[in-house]
Amino acid sequence: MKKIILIFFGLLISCNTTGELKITNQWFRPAVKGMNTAFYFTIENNTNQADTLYSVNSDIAGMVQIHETFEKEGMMGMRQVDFVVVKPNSKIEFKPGGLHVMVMNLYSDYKKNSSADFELYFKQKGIVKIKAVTKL
Amino acid sequence: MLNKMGFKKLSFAIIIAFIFFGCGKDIHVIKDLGKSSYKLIDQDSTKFNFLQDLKGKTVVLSYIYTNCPDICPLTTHNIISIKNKLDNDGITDVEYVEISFDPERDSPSVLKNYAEVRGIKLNNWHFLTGDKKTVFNLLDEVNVRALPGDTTITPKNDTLYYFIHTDRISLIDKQGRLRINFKGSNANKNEIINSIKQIN
Repeated sequence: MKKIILIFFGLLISCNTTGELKITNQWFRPAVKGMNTAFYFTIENNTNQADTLYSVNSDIAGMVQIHETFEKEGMMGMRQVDFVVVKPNSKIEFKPGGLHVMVMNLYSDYKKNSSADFELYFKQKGIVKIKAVTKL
Repeated sequence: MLNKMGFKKLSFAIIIAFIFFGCGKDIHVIKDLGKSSYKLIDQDSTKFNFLQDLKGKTVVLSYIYTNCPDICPLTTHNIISIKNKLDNDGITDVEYVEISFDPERDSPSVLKNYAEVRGIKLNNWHFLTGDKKTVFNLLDEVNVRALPGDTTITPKNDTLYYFIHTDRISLIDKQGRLRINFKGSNANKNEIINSIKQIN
């Protein structure tokens, strides 16, 4: 009987266990040395806790910043954003024409099917290291 | 007097007429650029007279700067899709032109790299740059704005700057008339394709 109760509670606990925060659909645009590119991905926060992306880093470029594209009076521009909050059990897409990571002053050419490593810094999760491939 | 049968036939004819003649968008002339002559250079450093070297051709025109990582590549990629669809439909007598509003950084070789990294074939696609004053006079004529925005200093003291700019794809007809403008990065590609077919 004890065993059955333990198994029951074990199952109950496992049902309440939330998922993880993960990065999916990551890619970046091809660009050549000295130029800029944009890095895109989806943050899936499958936990019961909000998390905050506050920085992105990569060794492939002189500078990396979180940016958003905006429209003002019929003109388009980009500006830096300090952080992005991902609510519990939600996802945020970094996609063309919206949030993106600006990868500035590339040290090498990144043509078709090139790959690069990126580090995403979250307040709760810590560092998430991922590899992304170029895509048109 | 129309009898019942005649009325039905007339209604049917009106509906058919709407289907055939009512689908095309009414495309007015925005500006006649037929006499415009701006001496620019293309990605191969070859002299290019805009618009004289394009006379007699339908032109898909857009405005970019190659340091733009998000908006301008979207516009270029939309035009790649439009060109692929038109090529598949056998419409190959269209010229594609992208003018840089950052001529100080967008030299011919930089423009060529931008094209090559995207696999763009340059037989009927021209990336144009040139003297800053000439470029901005041309942009003024087509009512395109590009204003320097935020400047960023990298840890290595390189200065990076961006533009706030008009986001546009324009169509010019064979008579050199600016006919219609569309959004560039968030383009309705089917609408642009239909308009090209209509004015070509």
